[in-house]
Amino acid sequence: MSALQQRIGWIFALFLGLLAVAAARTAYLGILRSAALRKDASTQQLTDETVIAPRGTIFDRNGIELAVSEPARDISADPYLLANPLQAAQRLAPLLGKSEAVVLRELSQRAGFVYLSRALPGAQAERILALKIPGVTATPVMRRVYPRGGLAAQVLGVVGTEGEGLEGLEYSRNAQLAGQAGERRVVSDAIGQPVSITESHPEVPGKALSLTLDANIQQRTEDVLGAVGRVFEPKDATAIVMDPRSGAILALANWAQAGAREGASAPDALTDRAVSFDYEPGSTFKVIAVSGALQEGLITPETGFNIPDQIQVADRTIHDDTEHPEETLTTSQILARSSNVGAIKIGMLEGASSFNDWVHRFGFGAPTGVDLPGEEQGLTLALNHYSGSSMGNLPIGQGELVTPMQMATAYSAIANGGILPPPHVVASIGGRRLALPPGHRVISSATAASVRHMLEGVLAPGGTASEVSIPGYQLAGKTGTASKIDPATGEYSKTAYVASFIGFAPASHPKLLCAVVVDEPQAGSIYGGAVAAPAFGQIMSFALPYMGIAPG
Amino acid sequence: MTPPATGGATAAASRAYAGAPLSLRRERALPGTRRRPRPAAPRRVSGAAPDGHAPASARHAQAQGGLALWLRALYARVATGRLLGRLIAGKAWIALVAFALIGIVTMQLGLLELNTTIGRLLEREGSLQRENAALSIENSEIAAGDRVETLAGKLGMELVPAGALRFLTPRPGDLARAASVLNASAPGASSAAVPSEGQALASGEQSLPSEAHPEGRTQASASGAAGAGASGAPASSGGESAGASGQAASNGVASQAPSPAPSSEASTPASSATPTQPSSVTGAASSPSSSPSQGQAGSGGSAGGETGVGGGTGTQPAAGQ
Repeated sequence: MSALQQRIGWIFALFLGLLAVAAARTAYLGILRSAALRKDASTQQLTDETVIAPRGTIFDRNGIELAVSEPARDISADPYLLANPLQAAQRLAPLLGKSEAVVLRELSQRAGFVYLSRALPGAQAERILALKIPGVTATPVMRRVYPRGGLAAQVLGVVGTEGEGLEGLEYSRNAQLAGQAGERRVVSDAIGQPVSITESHPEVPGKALSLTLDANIQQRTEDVLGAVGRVFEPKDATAIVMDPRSGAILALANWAQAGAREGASAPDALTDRAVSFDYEPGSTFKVIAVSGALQEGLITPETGFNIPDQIQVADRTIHDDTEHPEETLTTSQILARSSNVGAIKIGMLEGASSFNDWVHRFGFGAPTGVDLPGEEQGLTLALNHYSGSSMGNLPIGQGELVTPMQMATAYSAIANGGILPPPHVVASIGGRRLALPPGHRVISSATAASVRHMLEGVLAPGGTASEVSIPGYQLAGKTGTASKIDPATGEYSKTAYVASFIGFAPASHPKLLCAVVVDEPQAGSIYGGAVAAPAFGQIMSFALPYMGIAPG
Repeated sequence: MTPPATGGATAAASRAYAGAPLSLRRERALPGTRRRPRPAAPRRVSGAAPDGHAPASARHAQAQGGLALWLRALYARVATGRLLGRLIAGKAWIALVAFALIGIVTMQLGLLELNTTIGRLLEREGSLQRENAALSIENSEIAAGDRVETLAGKLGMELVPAGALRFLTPRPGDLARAASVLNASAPGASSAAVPSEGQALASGEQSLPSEAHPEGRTQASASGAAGAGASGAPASSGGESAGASGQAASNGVASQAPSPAPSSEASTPASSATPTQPSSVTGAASSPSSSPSQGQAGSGGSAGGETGVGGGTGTQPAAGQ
């Protein structure tokens, strides 16, 4: 054997030896330690991640974000894995925004899992993870942010810690907003770099919601209601600004809204009273009796009525607001002065059956169908339950329950040439415009025009809201001051009232409608003309030029 | 492997056994005797087998035997074949195997790199999502009416009071003038129209104390131009562009203001208005105080709307606001 062959033989033997060692090692790892290594690999290298779907953004009508989802992390810890809880608490506390003592108490729990913070903003969570504290982990979640704070809180609602809508549109449109979480399997290498990513279920992001709300009008409306709250100290107040031509709600505010989302105020602070507050409307309801009688040709705006300051209906005596000698008032004057006796006379002229029919035609006793959760339908007296005195209080807005949304919608019909528009707050979902149900005619356009003209008198000298005016704009509307039932006595209270005003402008071709309802004003005045009408004026004086509506 | 013949015999035997009476089968299973091994093939139902057809088990065994034979023959053919011999004997196979190995390794590396890139991109996606959300939040906060009003106030602007908003009635000649301006609104013509608007509102501009409000002067000229467009000055496109520049000139205030709404809404009265309705105008000439009115063109939402209304006069002369 030559030297070369011998060397080749040695090299071959060496390689053979190395191969044998490798084979032995492979057998050791692959057979003897197979189970343990497989388990380790699955926990260290293989991760099944849930890909959280971002919740849809909620925009106002101008594309201003009202609710945004932001990637965040739930920070949790396994106290059993923490070698030095005190040191960990010292490092974590400033980043978590908690005191060291609180964090230490959490880390000292005898549990394998404890939340340190929920939905921590991404950047903050990254800083915590950068500390690389063993046992501290972060779970990706989505955090709901409301950039305008409490703006339209009752409309938008709120999202729970698990990302589900709890109130408002967040609740009622949860299916569209939430999207669907995805799943992803990630295999990482020894240094944690992903080497294989398999998406088993791609996530489906939530759809964006575009509202008809206008953030600026909403802000102004809330500011005005806030001022009403400070001055008159009511129990509650609500305001609706609507385009009567389409039923699009431009603003919907509730007082007290401050801190509503944080739960700082009353427990029902997120309740949208515009759709859930049942109240007796009082004088604002007189328009329904007058519209019906006008439509039936029983009266005209100039029809005169002999009006004493009180009237006996069955066993009840109903008074006008002030004592006055018997006088003759036209229909227009009855509305302008808000005469109870006059409205009752018109209602009685109309008859119970016809009046009841008009009440339902204007949409009372049924939900308006507005796309907001928790809508009440109010309460109207069935015709067969009318008593002898029913027509003594129903035409003046007593004995029936309505919601502010129902009243605003009914007045929209008058402003909109007799066609009742479908009130709505959601314009489009996922970029697709929502089909709205068509409005339906309630009264003729001529009747609507007559009523609008008569309602101008309410804000004219001698009317119940004569102090409210917006230079250049002809306003129309109706005040309402309704006694509330005292639950203790079951009688109408002498101290608790609902003051309201519903109006629109420009009176001849209304393009904006505003309803203000103030529940139980405590300080100052209790009258709709003094409490709610000025608020209407302030809201409209901003909204009319803002919307580019020409005076008229 | 069970030869086909054996399989067939077993099957035949089982068939015969299956056909025997019950008593006979009991006799064969006497205690103490060894049980016969279970037939390999499944027992068939009683009755004669169809002629000329082998049982399924037999066919299966035959097929298996055939496959083995075929494989053996293939191996023999390849082993003795010259192609493989030449491939192994030559050096080409080394290159072939090396190429294959390098290809596999390259593919694996590529795959790893791809996955790593995907991982990085996912991280980037997450950070972009965060960034996007943060920007959305910032956008919403910046567009807040209060903030815009405050900033506009610092620039000497104020929200136009509802009563200060004036509208002009179109005159008989306005329609023809506007139409002629529209025809002449080719590039170059509009730039010539702008100075004439500025001249039209020169008084408004002059009334602003430039020393006291150096920034306001810029606003004044811009809003003056916008107002001119509204007042029926012969420059429709110029009026609009001037209005736009007025907004842009307001240190970003107007651009942050919710201008889309007012401008879009502004077209509503313009389009729906009858010729008898008063046409809208805002700006210095009609405002009670010159200085605030100058700022209206860029001061927040309402101002944007009014500017839009003003611009609409020129662009929609038929409506007449």
